[in-house]
Amino acid sequence: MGNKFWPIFFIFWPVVAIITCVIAPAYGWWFPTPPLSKLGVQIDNLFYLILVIVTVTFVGTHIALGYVLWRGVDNREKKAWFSHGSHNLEVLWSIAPAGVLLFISLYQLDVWRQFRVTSSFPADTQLLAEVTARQFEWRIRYPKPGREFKNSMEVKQWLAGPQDGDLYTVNDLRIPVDKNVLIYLRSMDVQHSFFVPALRIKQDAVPGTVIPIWFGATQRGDFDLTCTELCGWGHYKMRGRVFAQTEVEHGQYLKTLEAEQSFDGVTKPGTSGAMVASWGVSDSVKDDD
Amino acid sequence: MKSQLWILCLLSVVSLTGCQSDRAPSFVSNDDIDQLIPAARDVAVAEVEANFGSPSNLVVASYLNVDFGTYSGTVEKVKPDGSYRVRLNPQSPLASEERMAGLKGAAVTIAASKSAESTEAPAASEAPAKEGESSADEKPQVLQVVSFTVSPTQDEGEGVVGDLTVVSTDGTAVTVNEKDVVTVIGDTLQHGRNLYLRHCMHCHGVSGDGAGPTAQYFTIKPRDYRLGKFKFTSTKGGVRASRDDLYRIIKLGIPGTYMPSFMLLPDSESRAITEYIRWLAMRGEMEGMVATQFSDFSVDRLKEEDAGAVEKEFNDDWAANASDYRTQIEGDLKTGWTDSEDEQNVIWPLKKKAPDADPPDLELVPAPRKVPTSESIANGRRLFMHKDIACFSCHGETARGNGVSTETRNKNLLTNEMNEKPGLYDDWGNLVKPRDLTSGIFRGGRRPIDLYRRIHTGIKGTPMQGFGGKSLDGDEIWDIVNYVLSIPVHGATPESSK
Amino acid sequence: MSTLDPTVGLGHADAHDHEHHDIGFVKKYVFSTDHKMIGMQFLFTTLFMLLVGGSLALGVRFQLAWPWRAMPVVSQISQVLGGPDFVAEGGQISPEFYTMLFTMHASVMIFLVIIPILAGAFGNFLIPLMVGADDMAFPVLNMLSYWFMWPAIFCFFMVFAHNGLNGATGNGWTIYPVLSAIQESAPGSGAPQTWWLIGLTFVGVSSMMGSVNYMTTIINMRAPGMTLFRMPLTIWAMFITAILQAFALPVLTAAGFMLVAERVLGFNFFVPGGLLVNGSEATVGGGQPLLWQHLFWFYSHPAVYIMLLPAMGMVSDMLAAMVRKPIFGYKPMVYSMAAIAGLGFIVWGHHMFTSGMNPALGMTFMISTMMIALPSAVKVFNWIGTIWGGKVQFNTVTLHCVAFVSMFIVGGLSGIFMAAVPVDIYFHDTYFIVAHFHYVLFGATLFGCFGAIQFWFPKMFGRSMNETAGKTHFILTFIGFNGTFFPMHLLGIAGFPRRYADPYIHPYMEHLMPMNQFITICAFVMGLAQFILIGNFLISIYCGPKVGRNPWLANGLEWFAPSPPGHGNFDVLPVVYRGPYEYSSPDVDDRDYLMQTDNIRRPERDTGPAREPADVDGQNNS
Repeated sequence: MGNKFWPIFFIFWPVVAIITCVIAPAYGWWFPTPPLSKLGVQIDNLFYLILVIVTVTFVGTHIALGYVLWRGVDNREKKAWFSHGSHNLEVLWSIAPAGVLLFISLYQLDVWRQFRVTSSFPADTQLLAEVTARQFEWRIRYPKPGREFKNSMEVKQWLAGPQDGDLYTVNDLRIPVDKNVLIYLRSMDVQHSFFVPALRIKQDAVPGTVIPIWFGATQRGDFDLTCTELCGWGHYKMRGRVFAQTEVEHGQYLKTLEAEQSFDGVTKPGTSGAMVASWGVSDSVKDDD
Repeated sequence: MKSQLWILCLLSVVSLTGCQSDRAPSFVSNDDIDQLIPAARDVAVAEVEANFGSPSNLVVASYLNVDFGTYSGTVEKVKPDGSYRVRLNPQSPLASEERMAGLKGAAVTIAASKSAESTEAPAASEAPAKEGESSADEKPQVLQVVSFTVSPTQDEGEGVVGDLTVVSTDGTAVTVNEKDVVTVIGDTLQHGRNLYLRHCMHCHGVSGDGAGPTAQYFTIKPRDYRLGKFKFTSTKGGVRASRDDLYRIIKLGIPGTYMPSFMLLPDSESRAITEYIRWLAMRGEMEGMVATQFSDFSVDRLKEEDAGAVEKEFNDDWAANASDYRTQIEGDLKTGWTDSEDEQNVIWPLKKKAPDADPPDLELVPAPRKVPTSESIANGRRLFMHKDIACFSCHGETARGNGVSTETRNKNLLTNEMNEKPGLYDDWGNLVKPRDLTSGIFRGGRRPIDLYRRIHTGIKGTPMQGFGGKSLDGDEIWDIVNYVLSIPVHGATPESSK
Repeated sequence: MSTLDPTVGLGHADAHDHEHHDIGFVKKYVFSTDHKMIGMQFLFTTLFMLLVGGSLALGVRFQLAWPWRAMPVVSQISQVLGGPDFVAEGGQISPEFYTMLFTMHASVMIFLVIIPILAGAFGNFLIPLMVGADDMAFPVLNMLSYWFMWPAIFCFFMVFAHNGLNGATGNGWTIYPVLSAIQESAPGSGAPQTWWLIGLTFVGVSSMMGSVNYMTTIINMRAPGMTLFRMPLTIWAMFITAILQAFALPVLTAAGFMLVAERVLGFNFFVPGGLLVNGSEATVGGGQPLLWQHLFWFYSHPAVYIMLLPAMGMVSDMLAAMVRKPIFGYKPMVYSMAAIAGLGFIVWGHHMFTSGMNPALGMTFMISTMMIALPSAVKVFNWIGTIWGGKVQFNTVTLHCVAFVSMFIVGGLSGIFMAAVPVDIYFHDTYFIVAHFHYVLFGATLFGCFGAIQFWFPKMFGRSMNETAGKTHFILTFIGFNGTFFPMHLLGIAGFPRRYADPYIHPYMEHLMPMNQFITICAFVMGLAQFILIGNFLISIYCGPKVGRNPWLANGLEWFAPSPPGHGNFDVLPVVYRGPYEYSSPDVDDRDYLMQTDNIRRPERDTGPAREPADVDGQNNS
């Protein structure tokens, strides 16, 4: 054993690494949810494709490394093998990875195009809201319910500033489920990044720029929204959520929001002013206890 | 050899991490108390501590209008070492093992009902909350928890079982029998404390003094609760903030400042934080009141007078008036923070029924928001520029928050002295800017009722005064609200008013 | 010495007679112009800074494992520096303190440890020795390059000293504007940020002086017979690094000046108009924050290779010596390093896939980024090929080299996930990326450096380091390292973002706390293990067993010089007859190495007595 300790040591750790990865999903050390958007499914498929390629390479190189080390300590020859290399091998192991890498990169392009190239956005994408990140919260503005944008000029005008009847909320973006929605992402102060792990989307909010992003949830539910671009001391505090509801619920939500926002203390009896369930908060933010 | 090294490393890690875990946050006294002579300062600090304790040792003063939170359990066994085996009532919403573990070392007051028959837990848990009022009932013994260790062996049955050690606060002997109902008070407060230290403390400070470590970097300073004042309330002028006001701020944040929205905290957590903030505000107010009572004994006197004489004077004064002082302070705190919860004190839009009729009918009736027609907006603008209302003097004619008062030297509202720098100051001594109404950011909320209340009552503690009742009628306030709401969209000078 | 051909016309061999005259303590140890002393100065400085940067990292780890628990010693240090003592808070740090910790950890590690230890310490020490020069081309410039580190260290200290530790720069080492451009936007965006930028400039000046020197020395001062393709790979790596540095650094310096101008003089490059930061007045101007990212990464991506290539070169040299075998594919190794350097200039955009730049750029940068994996793969295969058929002896150096290869494989492969734009959408700015670059920068570079310290220590001090302590350090560091950084891949997959002071307020990360605690314990083990290295290093300087010129029986020119080399390095001027990797050559029968200076005649093989280290030991110690 003695002189074999180190080759075993260097083979042992990749084994531990692989085992860790295999058991990881069972302990929650894996994607927090399955991908809940169509794009997310594609991204995950690409991830698993790369994972397979990478795992094969990782295992292969480590087996090779372990093997040469194992043989190396055992080498009873007087001298090591005097070789300056092999041209054929060099060619082989240049072209093979090049092919794989080129394949990976070309194979990825389409998903990227769908996600980011504006002209490739799905035709049925519906403008939903403007999300303005600021230290340290997400301010959300919906157009007045029922308002329809006929052309990009109207969208531009809407984005230019507050409009009559806009609805405002914070940290709680509601989207209709199974719809492709478009949000305009902007920042009021520094850079932020809009990250919804469950939907596999992430986009920086850049000050001075309005960035359209589209996404769609395929499942009703409540998805965490976090900030992933350092935005100051309270970076970690930017806890938000994207709540995918059925279209009916979403319509109702906007109605409640509208009612809540136009509340003048008189015309909506039964609410004692400050405290209302009509924020749409209490119906879904459940107590942890 | 290697394994020993490993153990050594691990041990040093453990010791590094473990050695300071017993350090605890502490409250800091306010400046006025620091200005008192030592004897008075000691008494003041002791008084405040007797009523509020420290962050790691919260004291439940039952006269305060605070929902301290309770839960109860039954003593199963009195152990020879003086501790008790307690089974917590499984119906108690908070009796989770995790939460109980947090009690360890942290003392709260408990009441042990002597009546072994009253095993009905919910009823028992009500009792101590009413303790202050219903003194006719048998008064439960007030105890202090020394430790609560969750029992390692979970025997059969529902609820969490743990070993409880208590001492009496007033030095009397503790007698607890089996089947006694133990009621632990202060869980909500503790929960609030834990959350506050995690989410709020960095800006607002452990004492709620708005001077946490991060606060020094802010242009707009975090609220100092200790004046008992909160800016954006639904209550009348001079009345403190209601629970709902604070809750709403926690939920929605204050746009335009560093106060973020904690929208996604579960309801119980936001409620617990609200309660803890109210409690901190009361603590700060008590500090202020004690300091005011003792204001004759400031260290400045020691420059001219003999320290012994001043101290004697103080001691005499305190001996003679201690109970009066206490009664007064307790009464103030109790009424102050009870009034704020009173529905009567909430502002609702009202207008005179028919002021122009003959004879005028001045009865107040609910005033719904006026439809924001261009006439209404134009009237709002007219009032905005009216010399008696004079919104423009601070907010500026273009509503950009650059009125003439921001450039003149004004009087400090509290000390009645002129400020050093020109501009407007709030009660906390911070230079404040009038809102730029064109930005579309409304800190106290953007609902019409929020703006109505801002104009009706003003923003407490700031030069933004209230115009409701005396200067403006409900409908006029609505005109201004309509105008203000139209500024971000249509600009500060509406077409129709030109 | 009969085997040497003293070269005619370079007859200053006897110049070395003057080396014993006393040049005074200051000239010898402080303001020394001797490249070896400067290299050692760099080495000591960077090892100290390694401890500083490591402590900062442990602070980060502590907070992530036990959020808001009282952090040891912080309040005392902060108090000494005139900052908040965190007593009222019960010792729990503030969030801006946490941002300071990771910012300064990265800044110190990158600018004061890795870049100087590779280029400054090993570059300085090895380049003249390995090319057969008596010193650097510009010795005074070389001295200045070290002493310009100190203003940088001073500036970085000023960053700390601002309001104790609490007001230091907390904008990440990437200091993205607007955060870093507007004073109010974050604690530490005021004066400390300016200090930071000035410090960065000093580091740049220091590196630039080094680069010029290295390039000139390598081009002009090679020993006779040392053709370019007889240079050891270390020298190739240093050469390519110097070129990279010289071309990329001006961009960062310019960007730094732009940011300083923006902050101090009111220029407007990066801040767009209409921003409302921290309740201050709205900004005016038409800057573009992405401009900074482009400029910054145009330097900082090549900088990643600046931080890696020299280690690759050194590992190649060490590995060949340790397995007694020529390097497998010498020229492909050189070409792949050149390819990495070349491609390194056109991949910076992969740091910005989610930044909102034109998506077409994302596609381009993805392809170039994927392609840069190719030369890296070639290098890995060549290292494995080098071990293949060798006689492996597992000493500390070999262990570090093998660990380098193994860790570099992981770091390289995890990079492929992030090179793929769609997958990067998910992984960008999560702990996956933290794992990735620590595998490359710590796992590869630092393991390479630890091995190099062990390997060249005899040449530096004439003594060798302790093997047992070296192996103990290695195994603890290796286990600690993998225990720390491998789980971070999984954290990243679980969506755990970087730079969060308290991630557990987000429900989907709550269950990751035990794993973070495990990581932190591993990190502490790793951190403590470094004291074994430092102890071994310091003790061995005085107490290690003395060794001769060539304790490793290696081929390079540096082993031809005395240990430690005197002033002017070589007592006999070296003449180079072959490349540095002729191990186990059939040309000699009695030994498995053939030094670059050995003049053997083929086929007679009349080599004279083989030069064993013992023959020359002790003759020329200065």
